[in-house]
Amino acid sequence: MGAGQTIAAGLALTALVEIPGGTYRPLYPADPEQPVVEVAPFLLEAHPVTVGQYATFVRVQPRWAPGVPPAVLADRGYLGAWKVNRPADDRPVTEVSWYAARAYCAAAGRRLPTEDEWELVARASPTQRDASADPAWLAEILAWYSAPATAPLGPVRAGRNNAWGVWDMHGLVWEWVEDFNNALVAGDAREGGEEDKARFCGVGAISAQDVRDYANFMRVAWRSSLRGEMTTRTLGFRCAADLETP
Amino acid sequence: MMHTPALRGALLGLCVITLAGSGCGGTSETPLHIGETATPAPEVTTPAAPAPLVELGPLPQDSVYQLPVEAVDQDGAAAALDRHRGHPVILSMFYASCPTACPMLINDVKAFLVTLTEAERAEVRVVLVSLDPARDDPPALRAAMERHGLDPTAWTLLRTAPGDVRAVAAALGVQYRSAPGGQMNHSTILTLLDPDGRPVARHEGLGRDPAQLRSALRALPATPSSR
Repeated sequence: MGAGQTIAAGLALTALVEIPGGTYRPLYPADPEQPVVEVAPFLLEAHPVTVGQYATFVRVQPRWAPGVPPAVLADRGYLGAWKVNRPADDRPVTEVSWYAARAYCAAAGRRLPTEDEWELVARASPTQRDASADPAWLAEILAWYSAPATAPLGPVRAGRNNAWGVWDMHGLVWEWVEDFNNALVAGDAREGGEEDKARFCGVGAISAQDVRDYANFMRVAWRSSLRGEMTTRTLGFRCAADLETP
Repeated sequence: MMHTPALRGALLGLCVITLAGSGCGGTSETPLHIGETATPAPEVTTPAAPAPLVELGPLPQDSVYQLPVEAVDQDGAAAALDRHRGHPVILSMFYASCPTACPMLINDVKAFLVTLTEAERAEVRVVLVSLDPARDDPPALRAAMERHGLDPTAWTLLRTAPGDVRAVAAALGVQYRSAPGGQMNHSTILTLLDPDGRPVARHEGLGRDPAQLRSALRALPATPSSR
């Protein structure tokens, strides 16, 4: 079990890191006249949910055991490589659907982070909270994206944490966010009517503004191709929580 | 609003639906279910006394009705996505204050219904789940029903808990987010569900004939009341 975990609701929960919030420039702003959004302060788990943590969850909620959830909530790959109950397994859990990730976070009294929250934290390098204009850092992320995903996953917290004190935002697994399906850039949009065409053209113009963060573009495009029941060998998650206001 | 030819066609179609509805009993919304006998359904007077559901068998694994989503309809009655289990269902998402895309989506569905035979139209149900549960309370949904002239026998507008909207969207492949001025950006996808809630065809975009929905509908096994 990783350092800093607490036991709650029968789960071994990851420690939360307080993120004081900030401004973030989404790749596809909802309002083109407001290209910068404010992200309110929130809490984010310090590392992705591990196999061991997920095993505990499955024991508490057997309806999320391998082979149990209906296909509409998790595809056939769900926990495909699962072996029974390894509480000490510190590798990130993958092959989990969005519905499963959401159920885990709900059981923990937490929630999935929004895309804006996740991306705000993800632009930090080990030394800078906003490294989205640092070519060396972006190159490092892109090198990971272009590496073949055949090697077995390593444990969480093996690399450097970022300037927020958060581990593994890059370099280990992709992660679900609550509003993964918020970007109107589905491939089918291209064959649509005028409305879709306008949307597609607008998207092109916006992405041209910030093409330097190609890694961000890749993440958004990839997320928009997902459906809630999908699972992959490299897709995991971590939970977030609201900052309690005194 | 301008009465475009397309809208006139849709209104004509609506009249046909209304006639078909009254022709098969009118006031009763109780659908026939698999295995149900042909005896007349008892008059349902209170929501607390639904007609007894005859055994439908377990839901298929890939049924959208597996989603644990609770909702209320435009009349404030508790509802679930499977309200019309036993019927082919066109399932989509919308929001009542939507200025452009949602009226077009509703007109597209109306125009699609017009292309069906009377018997097919009598079977098909349309369920629209709100993307905006904060504002789309039952009165707002009821007002939308009236504004768009939707026959409550065939059409159901649902409001889920706020956290369930994304759960429905994630299953249907609907992309959405809030936009300035209280609007929502959203993709328009019509999903045809078979009588057990399995998606059998999808249609994306606006203003085009969803021909694949029609052929998928006609490829479905005979529905209970057409047997």
